[in-house]
Amino acid sequence: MALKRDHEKRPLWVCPDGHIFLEAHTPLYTQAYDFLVAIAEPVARPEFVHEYRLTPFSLYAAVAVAIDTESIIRVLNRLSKVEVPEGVNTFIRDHTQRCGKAKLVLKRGRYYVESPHPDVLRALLKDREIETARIKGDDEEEGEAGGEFIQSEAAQEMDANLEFKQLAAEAEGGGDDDDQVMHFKVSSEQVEAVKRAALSMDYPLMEEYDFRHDVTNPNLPMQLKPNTKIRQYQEKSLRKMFGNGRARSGIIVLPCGAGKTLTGVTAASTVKKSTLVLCTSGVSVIQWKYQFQLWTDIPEKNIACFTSDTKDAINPDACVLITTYSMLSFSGRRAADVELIINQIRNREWGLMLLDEVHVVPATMFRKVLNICNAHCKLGLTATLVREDDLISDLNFLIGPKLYEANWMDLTAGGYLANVQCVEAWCPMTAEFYREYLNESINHRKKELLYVTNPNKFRTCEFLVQYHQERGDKIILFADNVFALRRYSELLGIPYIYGGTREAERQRILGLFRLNTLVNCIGLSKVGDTSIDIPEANVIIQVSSHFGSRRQEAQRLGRILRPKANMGEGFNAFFYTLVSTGTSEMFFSAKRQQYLVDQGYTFKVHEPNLRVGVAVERESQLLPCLVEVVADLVEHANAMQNSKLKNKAAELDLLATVLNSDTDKADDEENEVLERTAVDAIDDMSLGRAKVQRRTGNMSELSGAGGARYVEFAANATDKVIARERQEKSKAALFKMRYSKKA
Amino acid sequence: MDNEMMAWSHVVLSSVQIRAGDGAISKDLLKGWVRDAYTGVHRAAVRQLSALRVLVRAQELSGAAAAAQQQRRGMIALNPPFRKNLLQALLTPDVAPWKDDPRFALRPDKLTPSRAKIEGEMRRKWEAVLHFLVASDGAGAGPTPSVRAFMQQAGLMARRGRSEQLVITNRGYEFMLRDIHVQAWMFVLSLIRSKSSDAQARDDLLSFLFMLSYCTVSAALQPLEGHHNAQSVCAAPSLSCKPLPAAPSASVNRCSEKVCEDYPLLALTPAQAQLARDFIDLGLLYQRKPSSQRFYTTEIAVNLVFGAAAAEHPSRAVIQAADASAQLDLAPRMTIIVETNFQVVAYTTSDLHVAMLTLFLELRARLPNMVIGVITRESVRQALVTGIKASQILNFLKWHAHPNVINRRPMIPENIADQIILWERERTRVKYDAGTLLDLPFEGVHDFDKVAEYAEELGACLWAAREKRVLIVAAAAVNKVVAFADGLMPS
Amino acid sequence: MSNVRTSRKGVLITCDVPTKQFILHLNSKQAQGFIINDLDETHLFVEASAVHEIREQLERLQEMNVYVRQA
Repeated sequence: MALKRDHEKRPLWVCPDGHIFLEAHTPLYTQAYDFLVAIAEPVARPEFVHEYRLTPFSLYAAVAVAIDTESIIRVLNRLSKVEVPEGVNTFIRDHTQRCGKAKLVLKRGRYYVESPHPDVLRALLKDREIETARIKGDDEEEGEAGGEFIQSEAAQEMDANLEFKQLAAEAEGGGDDDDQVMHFKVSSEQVEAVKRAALSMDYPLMEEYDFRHDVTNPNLPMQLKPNTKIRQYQEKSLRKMFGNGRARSGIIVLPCGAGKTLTGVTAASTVKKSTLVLCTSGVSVIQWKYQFQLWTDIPEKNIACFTSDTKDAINPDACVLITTYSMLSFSGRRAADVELIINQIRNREWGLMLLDEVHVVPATMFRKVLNICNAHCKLGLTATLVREDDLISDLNFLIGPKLYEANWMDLTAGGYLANVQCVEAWCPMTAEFYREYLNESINHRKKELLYVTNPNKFRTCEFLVQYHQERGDKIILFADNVFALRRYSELLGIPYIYGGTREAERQRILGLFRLNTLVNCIGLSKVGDTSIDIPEANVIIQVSSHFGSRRQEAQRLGRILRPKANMGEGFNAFFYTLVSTGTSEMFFSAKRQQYLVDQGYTFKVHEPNLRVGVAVERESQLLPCLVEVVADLVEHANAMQNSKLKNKAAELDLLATVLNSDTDKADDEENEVLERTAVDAIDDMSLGRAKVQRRTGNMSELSGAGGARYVEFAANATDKVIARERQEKSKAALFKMRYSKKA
Repeated sequence: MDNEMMAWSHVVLSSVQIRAGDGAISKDLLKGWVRDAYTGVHRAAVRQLSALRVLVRAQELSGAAAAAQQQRRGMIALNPPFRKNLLQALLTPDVAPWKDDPRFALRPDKLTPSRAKIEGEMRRKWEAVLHFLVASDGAGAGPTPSVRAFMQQAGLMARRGRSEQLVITNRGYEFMLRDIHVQAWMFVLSLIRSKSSDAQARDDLLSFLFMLSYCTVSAALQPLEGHHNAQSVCAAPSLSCKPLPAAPSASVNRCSEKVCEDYPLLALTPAQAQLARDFIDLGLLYQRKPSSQRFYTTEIAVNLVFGAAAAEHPSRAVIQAADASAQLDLAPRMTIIVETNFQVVAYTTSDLHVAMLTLFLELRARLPNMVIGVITRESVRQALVTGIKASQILNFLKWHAHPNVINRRPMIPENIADQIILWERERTRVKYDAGTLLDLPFEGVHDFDKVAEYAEELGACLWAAREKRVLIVAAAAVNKVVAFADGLMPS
Repeated sequence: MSNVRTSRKGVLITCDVPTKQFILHLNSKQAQGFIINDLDETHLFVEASAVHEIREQLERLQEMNVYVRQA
């Protein structure tokens, strides 16, 4: 590859394998960045050189927002330091040849297959399904009638989305804009068949909903309130969606805490037709309703919730209906009142469907949902499009292409996200715990328990909690493992919430955390990942986590990503992961962090004695008061005078309890009791954990309608756990003896 | 010009002017000639020059009448031989070393090579040497046997493995990381050391080196009118007739001409000629063909003596000079950015640089003006295994820091630096010491303590546990300790 | 003529607490133990012949817990 002569003025390199590297401090960087985000998949975005990848999906997404093939090639060439390899040009042409060439437009209640190229339409019509679906005649209002196809003006893309055209024009050759499009009508009953047929011919139809000209469906009396502020990146994302005056289907990716909900609400206010909102849990449903009412003037009668606990009446004209994926995808027998509502949903034409946390939805579940609701436009909202099993491709075709993805680092720099210091504290295992860990005869769940309850780790956690409490921070302790959560919480004397905690109790604890200055630290199990919104926390301590899930890590970071009141220089939020060295926890921890590291977050590692012998030339970015302390985290922790685990005897006590616990049971109950989100099943499957088989069985049986069961189960669970505890305590004595002999 | 250089020149030249007697001048008077703002620099200069014995206390000058000693307290003077030579240098016309001796006069140079050619050849040879160092034997046609010998002697490479190939060592790595001036200097130092037994040869070498620094790479500034007038020179010590050879920046200015100076090989003593041949092998000097009578100098050679010192401290002046030399297309600099996700971006086009990077990086992409790699545990481990230290890797990255990150504190992201150090630590986590365990059945602890202390004194006590009377002694000292213990045993 | 009763040649291993446990664990798996003397939490005196195996196993332990980023 040869460098162009003025390569210093161009910001990117294009490699033959489709990888693109973008140099941050070069002229045209911002334009290049916007462009690349629209046409390629980001791989890593640290400070100086970003990496992107051209994939079929990313190119599809580009075309979906009106960036045509030749423009892509020309702009890339304009921006590239080297001649764009011919292979890349071919790749681009191949993958954009067919997608984006034809759209399925819903206009005034009728479906049209539209394209600027008549030959594309002809090719499509060669398919029998499509041919039979075609309706001809009486289209006077659609533009020039007669002739092979109906011709009309193309919907023009807004200028803001066409900035790249400038770059394209600077390159050789001009572009030719398509002013005219052709279309033919198809029967609404056969739309699905048409879509499938087109897909099989490699002409995936992009779906656009011409909502402005939709006179059949009643409008929602909903406006954004005047004081609602939309941020620049939210606007950018919506511009991609509504770029040409129609509503495009697709996915918007924004980090947690960056205002996904508001983006969804704004989209709904733009379309102003009946909107169906799908969430992952009952708690999210309540949050969405709250946000709709916060940002818009929607009347109470036009907004309804549908969960196991709530069945609001659905307004016969237009409404916003908020429910959960599980409510709609349940395939067993439903209660009568539930069935009634499902039918109402089925029989209505929905203008917009908002899919919250869309990445957790497995394809099968999603298809069931689609079977019930007929929506003209689908918008998926998510913070992380990363899934352990790469099922993203399905989503591309079920919902639509990725319309926009925000850069975490940019949002942080812009003050929209908190500036987070991520620390990984390496805690060595104690001799006894490690000995047991090495014992081959124990199963992996016991091993997990051992490295989670490692006394060195506990003391480090204790230390951090004390330290941050003194600073007046709000702290969340995360432990996936219920046994560990309870031990830690009890020893630390903090309230905790897990699957078995009843709703009323949860609200009470969360209320205390929010408002009471004496309750500054709470413990959370997996429930904390999705079902609870705690914006006031600014410190997270992870003591056990779910086997390397990048999504979970990103999500946890999201809990503290809301910008904090005291934003000044430096970090104002802290994310600690405590890892026991010499165990498999190290492996999983690194895996989990991968995604965040690629976004530009750095994880500082703290190991005992790290600073010894290392020439200190650094200026720490931590707030001054934290600097000396953190330098020898574990050392300080172990030097604490008032630790709850201050001597060997206490440690051995803990060890005994751990070895005797029947953790399997505790975890199973936790999981049965939790309203399971699909995400765990997906992650488990790809990570090959043994207990997966049991769980997938449960999943389809879960339903929001089981609400009553849920409460009952909770009660049982608590009782059972308590009873078992008593048993464990009596066994403890035996093990204590075993160790005290050796000591 | 650097403040420091200015101060030195000022002190020296002011002192030269004093002709009274033996040129002694009072310190205070000297200070009086300096502006207030610069007293600090002046003082430092006087200190340094005194340390170098360029300035000496007037009291030490021989030949001073004892009576006059009192008056001379607080007076300083230029060291007489220095003074004499300096005057001579200032006063004599532009004379090139070796050239004023008619015995070795060369015929006019008909086929003068261009500067670009000389420097290009130099770079080529030097890079080949470095490449050999990095990629070890088998990197194609390697350098001459004498260079290989040098590599081994200097400890830069060592024979490893069954194939007994020469492979880079820890010291070799250190060498490789340095600036080219420093590298050349290290080479020279090594040569001098290797000849340290032969005083005559060493002196020859040293004088050769100093002569070299007076050489010009190309025909420089023309002598000014009237510079032969010694008087006028002393009255007004302007530097225009003969620039001091010390400052690298000055020498850079000299090299704008295309005509290259040649020097006669025959003017050199045998030891010097040998050194010259080695230099030619390395590219530091240029000879058109082995039978040629003349040699040409290069930038590096001329700056050997003084250039190295400047290169040690990457002050802005040096970087500028380096940039200037880069523009002249000598040893292009590589600039590196280390990102927080372990990605490393290196702007370079040189194969050699890429080879250097692969010592501890995993290369991901090679682009026309840039290389992208990743620091992984495995790639760092490979480097550590050959004896390279984590600090060396970090220094390498810092040394070549890209302008965009030079002002970033810290230059290398903390988590990366920490991780590399941690990976190094992993390897030294466990210590193994061969020793012998002595079971000393003394009744009282007292005797045991004595033995332990004795072992301690020998530096051989690895472990001592009083209660259990267990002592572990380093293998080498076992017999001594046992003998001592025996002496204490009740017979 | 030494009255010093027993003297054993071997290797003193200095390491951290978990590593020592690991070495003990290795020892227990051997048919013939290689530990001559368990000195304290961070020190062991072992047969010289076992050192190679110990080194290798430790290396393997480290490898096992390392996550290599997927390209």
